[in-house]
Amino acid sequence: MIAFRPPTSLRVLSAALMGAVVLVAAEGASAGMAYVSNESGNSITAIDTATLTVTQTAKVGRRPRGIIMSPDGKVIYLCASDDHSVQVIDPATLKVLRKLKSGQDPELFALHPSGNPLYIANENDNQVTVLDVEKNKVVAQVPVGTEPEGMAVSPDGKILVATSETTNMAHFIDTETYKIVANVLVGARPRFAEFTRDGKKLFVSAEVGGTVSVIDPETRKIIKKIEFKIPGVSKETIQPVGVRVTRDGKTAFVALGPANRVAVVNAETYAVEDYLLVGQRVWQLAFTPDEKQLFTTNGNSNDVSVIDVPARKVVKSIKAGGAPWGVVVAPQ
Amino acid sequence: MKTASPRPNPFRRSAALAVLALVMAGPALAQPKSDPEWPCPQRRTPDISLAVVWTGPDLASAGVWTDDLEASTLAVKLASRRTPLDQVDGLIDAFAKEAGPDVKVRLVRVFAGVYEITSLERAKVMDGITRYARGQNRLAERLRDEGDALSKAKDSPEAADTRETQELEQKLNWDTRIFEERARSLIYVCETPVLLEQRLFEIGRRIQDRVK
Repeated sequence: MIAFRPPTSLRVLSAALMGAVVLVAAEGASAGMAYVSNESGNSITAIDTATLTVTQTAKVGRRPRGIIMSPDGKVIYLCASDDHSVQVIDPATLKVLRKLKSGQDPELFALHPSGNPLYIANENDNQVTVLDVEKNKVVAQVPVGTEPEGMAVSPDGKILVATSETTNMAHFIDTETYKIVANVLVGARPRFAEFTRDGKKLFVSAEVGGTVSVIDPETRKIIKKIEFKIPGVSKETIQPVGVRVTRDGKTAFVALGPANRVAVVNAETYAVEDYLLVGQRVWQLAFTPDEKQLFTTNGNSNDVSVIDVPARKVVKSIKAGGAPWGVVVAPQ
Repeated sequence: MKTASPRPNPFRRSAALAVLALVMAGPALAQPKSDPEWPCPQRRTPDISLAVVWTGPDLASAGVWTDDLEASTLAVKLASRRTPLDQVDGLIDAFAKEAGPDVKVRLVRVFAGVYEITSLERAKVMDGITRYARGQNRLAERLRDEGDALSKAKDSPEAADTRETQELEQKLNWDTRIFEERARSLIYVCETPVLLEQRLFEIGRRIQDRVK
């Protein structure tokens, strides 16, 4: 019996169609989704950003904290701090695909704009691990100040910034030579670093100092130290952690930890324009790609708040797992 | 000449080690280190600032909450940890339905009540934790003394299992047990103020949503 064999042109077409379907499926899998790491729940929660509902929760490694996605939205990278590894997770199934070498106790990391390598802060070893995510190979280990934590890569990929909690510095590292090219003293216990999209400003939050330093990456000088005052809230309670700046560089949002507020800052004049009450111990922030929504993780109230960015209003609280820590929204 | 070496005493060594471990565990649990009366890993915050749980209307402008019988009754009920959180919305809605034209002002009174009651309860818990820390510090001191006394008694060559050493041993064992049991409950004790804050925040959020 002769098996039916479609003509070559048909086979090519069907293969192309199949490929297209796979491509759409791959891109559609994570678009419109937010992923939250739950530090004490040892899980991640997937949230549909259109319906603002939880679609899935999955167990992951122990003490998940830093969470980011590849630029194509195909994989999630997660710091499983107590497992001393970075887990690569499929956004569609939330299954752990593989584990990467991270060095000890990874907490936060940054991805090169091209999607590789990954720069991981190793708090206990006082170094930054540079990891090729494709080969799972450590490319370099850069010694930095005591307890590195916040990590950011400049939009051109040339400079890596690592903040060290105890040394109170932002270290500027050349991503070609892995040499520290500058150290900038910021507020006490710097936690997080964020470049503006044009690469012209760097925001560094200081949890204990209660400030956000704005640094000119060109001159590596502090342009401004933003301070926060909320009537009726003690100074010690205001602990800036997560920072996000809108694409146009006009507005910065700063999570203020146990003050339970997100500060809305004019990123040109540096005036604080509003303090939005979100959830308890607000930690990290993430915009949707259209920047119409901002998601906040609230570690003590175990929820995620959704801020309507143009209206500057908190529109919803979504229950997540135990102690939500980090959040990432899939690219479009 | 062969000198008589003291008989090795396994108990003495293990008891001394146990005491040492316990006494060292005491300060290790205490954070921050500068405050020996605060044994919890959580940061000590004496009270809950109103502004971290409430951005609604000024509480004082709603009048004295205790003067509004229904509002204060609801406040007591909401503040009680016996009321499950999933009943809170229903209770607030039932109150709002009957509250008349001043519903928003009266809801603010309800929150004023919940805030005051929870703050008082939290203050009591904080006092309790401080007392607990003092008690543990005293007990750690006593364990150290008892361990020393037992070591001394057992160090003398003629000291076998005399009644005195037996009593000392018993006392040490008993106090060690109390110390360990208390230390184990520490994690729950320290969580209580956090749970109270969580509850207050959640109730505040739900009332705020209704007075916007």
